[in-house]
Order: sequence, then C-alpha cells, then structure tokens
Amino acid sequence: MQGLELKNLEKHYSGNDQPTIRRFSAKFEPGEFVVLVGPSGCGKSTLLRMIAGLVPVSNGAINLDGKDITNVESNLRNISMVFQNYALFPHMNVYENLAFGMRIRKEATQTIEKTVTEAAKILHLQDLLDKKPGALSGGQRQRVALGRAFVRKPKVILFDEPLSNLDARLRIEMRQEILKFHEQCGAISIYVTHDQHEAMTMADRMIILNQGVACQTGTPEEVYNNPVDQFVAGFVGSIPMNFIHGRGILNEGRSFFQVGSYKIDLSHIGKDYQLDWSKNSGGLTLGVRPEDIYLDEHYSHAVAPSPKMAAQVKMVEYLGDSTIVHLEGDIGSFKSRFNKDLRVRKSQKLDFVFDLKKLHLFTEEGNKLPC
Amino acid sequence: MWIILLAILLYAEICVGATLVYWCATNPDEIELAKRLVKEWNHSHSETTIKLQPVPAGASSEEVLLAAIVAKTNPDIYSNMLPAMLNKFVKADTLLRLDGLKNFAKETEARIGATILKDYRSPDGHYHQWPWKLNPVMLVYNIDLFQKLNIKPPRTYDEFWTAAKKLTADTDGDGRVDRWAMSPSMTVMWWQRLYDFLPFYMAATNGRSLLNQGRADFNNVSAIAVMDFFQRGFARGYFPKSGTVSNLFAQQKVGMTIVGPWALKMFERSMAQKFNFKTIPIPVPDGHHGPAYTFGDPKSFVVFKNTQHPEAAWEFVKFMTSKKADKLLLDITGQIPVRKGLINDSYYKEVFVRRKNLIPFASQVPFTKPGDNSEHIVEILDFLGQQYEASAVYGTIPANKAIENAANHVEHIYKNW
Amino acid sequence: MQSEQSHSKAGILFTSPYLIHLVVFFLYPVGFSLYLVFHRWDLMTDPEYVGLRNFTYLMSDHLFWQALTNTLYFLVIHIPLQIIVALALAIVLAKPLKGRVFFRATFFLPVVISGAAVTILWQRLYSTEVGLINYVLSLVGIDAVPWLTDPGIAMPAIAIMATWKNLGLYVVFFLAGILAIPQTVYEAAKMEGASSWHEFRYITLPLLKPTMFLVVVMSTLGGFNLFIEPYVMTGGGPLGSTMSVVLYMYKQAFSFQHMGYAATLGFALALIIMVCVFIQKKYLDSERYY
Ligand SMILES: Nc1ncnc2c1ncn2[C@@H]1O[C@H](COP(=O)(O)OP(=O)(O)OP(=O)(O)O)[C@@H](O)[C@H]1O
Ligand SMILES: [Mg+2]
Repeated sequence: MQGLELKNLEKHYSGNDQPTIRRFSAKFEPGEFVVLVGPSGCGKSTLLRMIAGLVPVSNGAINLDGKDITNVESNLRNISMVFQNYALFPHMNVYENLAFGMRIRKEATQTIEKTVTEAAKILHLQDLLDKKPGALSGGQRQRVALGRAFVRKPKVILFDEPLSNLDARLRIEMRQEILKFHEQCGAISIYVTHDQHEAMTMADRMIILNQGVACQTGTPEEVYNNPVDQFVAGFVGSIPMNFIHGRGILNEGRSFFQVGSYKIDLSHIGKDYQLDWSKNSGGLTLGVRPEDIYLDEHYSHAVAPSPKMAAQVKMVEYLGDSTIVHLEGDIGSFKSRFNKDLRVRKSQKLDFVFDLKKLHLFTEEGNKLPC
Repeated sequence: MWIILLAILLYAEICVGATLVYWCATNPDEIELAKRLVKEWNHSHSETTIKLQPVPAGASSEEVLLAAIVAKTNPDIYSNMLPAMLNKFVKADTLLRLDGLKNFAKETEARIGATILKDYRSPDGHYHQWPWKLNPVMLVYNIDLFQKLNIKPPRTYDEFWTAAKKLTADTDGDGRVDRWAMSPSMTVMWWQRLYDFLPFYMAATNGRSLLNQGRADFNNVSAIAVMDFFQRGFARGYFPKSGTVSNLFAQQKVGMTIVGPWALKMFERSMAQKFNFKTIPIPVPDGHHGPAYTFGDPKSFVVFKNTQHPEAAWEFVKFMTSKKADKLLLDITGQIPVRKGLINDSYYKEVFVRRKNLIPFASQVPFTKPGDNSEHIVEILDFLGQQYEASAVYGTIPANKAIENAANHVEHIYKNW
Repeated sequence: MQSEQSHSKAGILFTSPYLIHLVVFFLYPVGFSLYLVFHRWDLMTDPEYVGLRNFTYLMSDHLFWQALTNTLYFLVIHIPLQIIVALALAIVLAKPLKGRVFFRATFFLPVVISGAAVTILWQRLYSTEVGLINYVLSLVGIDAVPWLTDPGIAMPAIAIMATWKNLGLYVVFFLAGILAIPQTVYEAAKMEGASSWHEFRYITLPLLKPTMFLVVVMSTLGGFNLFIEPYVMTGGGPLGSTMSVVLYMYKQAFSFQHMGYAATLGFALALIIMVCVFIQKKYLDSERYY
C-alpha cells in the first residue's frame, strides 16, 4: 500500500500518569495535505515527533509505503520536519544549511550544488545563499527551513506550527507558498496549527485531536458542518459555536428544547425526536454557530426561524467584513455574527431567531444527537 | 551634650594614666607567660596599664609588624623582634633608642654584660633592642636508637656520616627506606636557612657572619663544605626527599633533628612511643678546632618611637626581663633568657634540676651568634635558599657554584637596592 | 541659573557613591601604583624617585622572566585541560540524567570554597608518602609520584588542581551555552543523519564559540593570577618551577618590601595580559547566536 499508515499508535512518556497518545490510527494518501488541530497539550507535537522518529513509539506501528518504519532511525525514514522556530543552524549560511544533510551523508559536491540550487530557485532563496539565518527575515528563514526539507525529497513532510512566529499578513502569504511547495514536493504533508483559518483553508483533510485521541477526521466542510461531538463543534471555527443549556421535554408527543420561557420545536431541526427525555434527566445542549443567528425580520426565506427571542447587546466587535455582537438574554450569553452593514449599539435590546436547520444538539455527555 | 561626654571620657583617661599596647608571640607557652607577667604588672603599677595582644595572624610576624607600622597601628612594645631584621626598622627610624634611657648602662651590666651586648648593636652604634631570649639551634638525637644501633653521637661530619649510614634503613622490610638520619627542610622559605645552613656555617667558622659591611663574607671553603654536607645527605638518601610536614623525629623515623629548646616540649607531646633524646652541638667539619658555635635564634624587646610613654615602656621592658621574669620564661617556655651566668646562678638552679634537657642549650649560649643585621637579610636568605634547594636538595649544581651564586647575588642586591 | 546649579549638585550627590567607589577602589590604587613604578619604597621610609630604574631592573631580572615562563607553561596546560574537562562534563550534565542537579551542585562546590582551604586539601592529596593519590596509584601498581617535589611535575600538578578548583564555574558556563541551543536544532540535525560526533563537531562546538572565548579569557585572567596554590603548596619551588609572576610580585612586595618594583611587575603583568586577551579576541571572538 502506498502512503503512510499509523496503526494504533500509543505514546506513554515515563513519569506521566496518562498516555499522551492513545490508539491513534490514520491513513495518509500520497499528495495529501492533512492538518492536525487540537487544544494545546493534546499531543500534536508528540504525534509528529513519533512519525519523525524523534520520540520512540510505545505501542503500535508506522508503515510507510508498506514498509514498517516504527523502529527505523529517523534519518532513514525519508521524512522531513519543519519546526516552529525553524531550527536552522545559526552558524551556517543558507547554502550550508541546505547542504548540511547531504554533506553529512558525504554526497558528491556537484550533486549537492545541483540540489541546493534547485531548492533555492523554487523557494526564491538564490540571493540569500551566503547569508546567515540571523540576517534573514522570519519569512525568509521559514523558506530556508522548507528548502532544507525539500532537498531531502521526502515522502512525508511534517510541519509543527511553522507559521506561528510570523505576523498575520506574512502568514497568509506563506500559506500559499507552503501549498505550492507541497504540490511541488508531491509528498504527504502533515501540518499542525492553532490557526483556524490556516486549518480550514489549507487542509484536504483535518484531524481533530483531543487528549491524545482522534475525535474526528474529515474535510473542513464535514468537520465544520457535522461535528461528531460537542468538543469538535466547539473547537472548529474561528468564533466558537454557542452552547445553550436547557432541557428536552415531550409535549403531546412532540419534542421541545426548553430554555427559560422559550420552547423550540425540535421537529423542525430535521428529525422527529421521539425520545424519552425523562431518562437522562432531560439535560440538553443546543449548539448554534454565530452566523446562524439572525435579527428578527432580517432572515431570508431559506432560513427556518425559531421562535423570536429577546436579548440585550453587551459588546460590539466591528471586524469590517462582519460584526460580532455579544448578546445576553434569557437563554444566556452568546455571540452572533451579523452583516457588516448592521448598526447596533451597546445596551440596545433586540429580538432574534436561530436558523433551525443549522442547529446541533448534544446530550449532557457531549454526544451529538443525530440531526 | 556629646562634648561633655567626650570631656568626661578624656578626663577619665588622664586619671587612669598611661596605657601601653604590648604584642607577644602567638605560641601558647609564650602567651601564657605574657599573660601572667602582664597581670602581675597591672596589679602593681596603677599608673601604667599594659594591654596584651598576641601578634595578629599573618604570613610572618615581620610582615604583620610592617603593615601595622605603615597603618600606624603598631604596638608600643614588641617582644618578638629578630635582631637580623632590626636594621630595616632602625633605618626607617621607627624604633626608640634605648641607650639614652635611664639606667641603660647599669641594667645592661647587671643582666647581659658588655661583650654579649655588642652583638646587638645597630650599625649606627646605638642600641634599639633589648636582648630577651635565645633558642640556640642544636642537634638533638634519639639516645635509645643510637644505643640500639651502637652509634656514637656525631661531633664531626665524618662521625655524622657513620651515624647516618647506620640509621638509614628499611625497618619493615618492604623494600623502601623508612628511617633516615635526619630530615632537613626542602622548602625555600627564607627563614628555614636559619635552621640548617646558618647554624652549620656558624659551627664550621667559629661563629662567623654571612655579611661584612655590605659584602658577602661567605664565599669560602667552610660555606662550601656546609652546602656539600647537605648535598651529600640528600644525594645518599640519608635525608628523605619528601614534602611531608609531619614530625619525623617524634615518630622515630629520623634519628636526629636540628632544633632549639622550644621544640623539646613539642616532641614530648607528640611522641607515639616514649624514647629518650639528648642535645649536642652542631657537627663540625673534620679537623675543626675550637667550640661549635651556632645560631642563637634570639628575640628582642623593642619599643616603638611613636609611643606616648617611652619611660613607662622601658620600665615594663625591664620588668619583663627581671630576674624573676627570666625564671618564668625558662620554666614556662623552655627558652633561654639572655642573662650572663645563667647556668651557674643558684636562683635558676631548681629549674635546671627539674628540666635537665635545657642544660645543654643554656651551656651553648656563650657560643651563639644572633645572625646578620641587614635590611636585605630576607632577600639574601631567600636567594641562598634557592641555591640550597638547587645544590643540596636536587643536586643540580655543585656546592661551590651555589655558594658563588649566592655571594654574587648579595653584591647584586647591595648594588641595586 | 539657580535651578541648573542645584541640578548639577543633585547629580553629583546621586553619582557620588559610584564616584567614591571608583576613586577609592580603582583610580587611587591604580594611580598610586603608577606613581610607585617610578619610585622605590620600603613601606616605612618615604618613597624615593628612581626614574626608570625599576624597568631596567625588570629587563635584566632573570627571576622575573623565569616566573613569566612558568606562568605561561601553567596556562598552556591549564587552559586546554580546563576546556576539555569542563566541556565534557557539561555535555554529560546537559543530558537528562538522574540526579543531575546534585552533580551540578557538587562540581560547583570547590568554586565557592576558599582557595587556601582547597590548596591545603590538595597538598595532602599530593603528598608523596601519605597522599591519597599516590595510595590509589599504588593499588594499581604505580610507584609513588613526587607530585610537588619534582621540578618537572609540580607545575602540571598545580594546573590539575587549579582545573579542578574552577571546573564548576566553567561547567556552568558551558552548560548555559549548551542549554541555550534549542533542542530542535539537534533534532533537525538528527533527522539529517547526524551522529553524536557530528552533532558535537558541527553544532555544539561552533555554537559554543562565544562561551569558549569567555572561558579562554577568564581562565587566562585567572591563570595569570596564579598565586595561592604555589604560595601554599610549594612556595614557588621546587627549583623555582612553580614561581608564578604574582607570587614573585608578592615576594618582592611583602617579603622584600620592594613596593616600587612590585608595582612595576604588576604593570608589566597587566600589559602582558592585555596583549594575550587581545590576541585571543582576534582569533576566538565571534558573533553570538542565542
Ligand atoms: N518529553 C516529554 N516527557 C514527558 N511528557 C511530555 C514530553 N513531551 C510532551 N509531554 C507531554 O505530553 C503532552 C502533549 O505534549 P505535546 O507537545 O505533544 O502537545 P501539543 O499538542 O503539541 O501542544 P502545543 O499545541 O502546545 O504545542 C503534554 O501534556 C506534555 O506535557
Ligand atoms: Mg506542539
């Protein structure tokens, strides 16, 4: 089988009570760009470093193109890594940085020169070859780091938050460069980031990791629109999903979500929940993304509106392309994203509705109820 | 307010009278002696109070004293002055001239006698020190060991080598020599030469000095013979070449040692196994005539010129060297007062009866010399020490070359400094 | 006008602690020794002006030149030894070993113990007959070594001791230098196939160059000030082989009271040190990366 396969990978650092990675399995196709996201400390770097061979695997296996590389030396795995702090050799110039591995492997000078020149051309480093990393900008350093990965012609490139040391604008530029670079390499890229935009825009596929466990794998749309549980729902999205805590009730054979004095008919959500709410004490969480909240009368006909609810404006964040409004009402505090043309003031009272077609329902344990 | 207080303090000071600071040597015996005498003095002399303090710690008392003089924190009276070092202080005009004081001549006649006193005269013809005590440097040997090995106490170098040959042995049969004849110092510290080269040189030359009017007076056969003596001892393995500081004589690892009387008590204290020892003069070259002189290792009282109460200080010095005080000195410290006719004076007899092993030292006193009084003595002995080390200890240069170098260096020092 | 004046008064007042310190502990001593260079002074009598006589004496003073040669010999042994041992230890201690805090503290201990105490300890260890070192050697069948009494061995022995004494300090320097190198740099190298030797040779060593320079300069300064060890252990012997410049200076000043000449020796030494450090700076100094 071509590609990278992780089978039931586990990592247990000595001295820690809990394993850092538990039974992690995944397959990566050649040419695929997979983004790994998850909260800080969930084990993303650990996973990458196990793949790279920098940390030994406690359990499980890593196969690359059908070959078991679980215990193969890191330099023999055909895998490159790009680090957040670039990890360039500060005392060597760009040329030497790119040539380091080949020199260690005692490759012929002409081969080295040819390969380095090629990498420099692709990454626009031709004019920087005799500069030391200290004399380069952040973006240039990152390109050198990419170049160092490139010259190895690896089958897998691992990126551990490669852009987080750059400023916002440069980050957006570098995203494109990395994607272009990824295409030129034709390798599997596994990319760790904290940046939601980066994750959504770059990923062919996303893996959401929580406490060492893969919660969900899928395209950005799948993950965004159909999160498997409350954790994924809350994690994905640059402004997190609102969670409203209420109760499920059965009234005349129909299920309702009740919060405060409001009742939302769950049959509109798409499925008729014939559930026995009394069994799990009736606790229920409603998830709604900020963009699925509309001011009364402002929604289009595509929307299936919930009953009208009232709230007061607590804060307004004007973003230019849209406006984030922090609201507080009987249903609790929540955020909504409105059209940029909307003008609201602090303390203003408004009525709003949810788009019932876009709601998510979670049990008290955070499991998603089918919609 | 504080002015009144100050006035009261000043007044009190005047009423109480003079206070003089006296520095004594730091060894326990001498501190005990000084404490007793000072207590007695303070008891009977209400007009002058003596404040006793042992010389503050330092590399050597001379250096401490120098530093104190520069800082003007020197005492009024000091009793550990090496006559060889005196000239430096005299030249700097820091010492009180004693021969101008009341009854100096009379006191001298009564205690010391004119002949001995002459040795203590400063180059300017005056007297700046009051000779106090001597520690004649002599040869002490282990009688028990000598008898066991049937060795005669050595008077000459020849006899010394005979003894050395018998003493030097591997006693426990492990193939390594573990007993030697004696253990002269290997270090170059300038004052070490006062206890090896100098006493042997004085013994060989009827008490000749190293210097004569600013010139080296030791480039002679006797000095070469002495240097050669030490060279032989080390070369033939009669003297151990070890850096140990432990007391080999008390451990019976050497049969002889060169010391002054102050060391006897120490031997008795540190002997692992009791043995008898005896003191004889320093060996002399074969064919030597006359008595064997030695270095007397004298210490003198001096009074500093900046004292407020010279007469009171002089009274205290006389008190410290009175007949009675001299007896205490002999008894407590085992050191020999510079007092003429000491050994025949019935007043001291009971001490000598009790401490017989002091008799040889006391008998040696007429044949002792105080050493050269030169402001360059430290540098001269230091260089001599380096030559001693090269020639005697390591044998890298012949004895005559070592003596010649040292003599030339004396010229060099006098020329340059 | 008024306020300007009170300003400058306040300025003087605020800087006075530093100014007083500077004058009392630096300018005055340096100025006074400079004055002494042209004088002879025995501490007790007034200094006597002698022009350049101290310098001409220095030039022909073979004891000084011997002391200088001895000191350079000491440096030639001490500095490389210091660097090799301290670097090796630092590399070991940089690894996540068990109890490394304990070891780091242990190696630092001799640095804070007084030099005299350490020297007396080593004098015992080095003793030819009863020393622990020779005892250990005798267990493996090596004959007693006359550590401090053989003119050829005494200075290397002192260099070993001085190296031990300062080891902790330089280990700390190297350790700080090593720990400042990001782990990811080593990981990047490892992924390129670098062996431990490669890592040391191509990463650790070049990145420690600034530390190396610091250590070389500091041990040069310390080495030229070699004093307490020969002062206590050998007195400069045997055969003058451990007479260092500072010990010689001390002897001239406090044993012989040649204050002016000692000051001249001090200036000569300062000059020599400056030249040495200048040369080291030229060949060893480099940019700092972290
Ligand atoms: N060498 C190690 N020894 C012990 N525990 C470790 C080690 N490295 C990481 N851990 C622990 O494993 C967990 C996961 O760490 P990891 O660095 O993989 O997280 P991460 O997801 O990359 O976090 P971040 O987003 O902050 O970089 C953390 O709790 C961390 O403390
Ligand atoms: Mg990480």
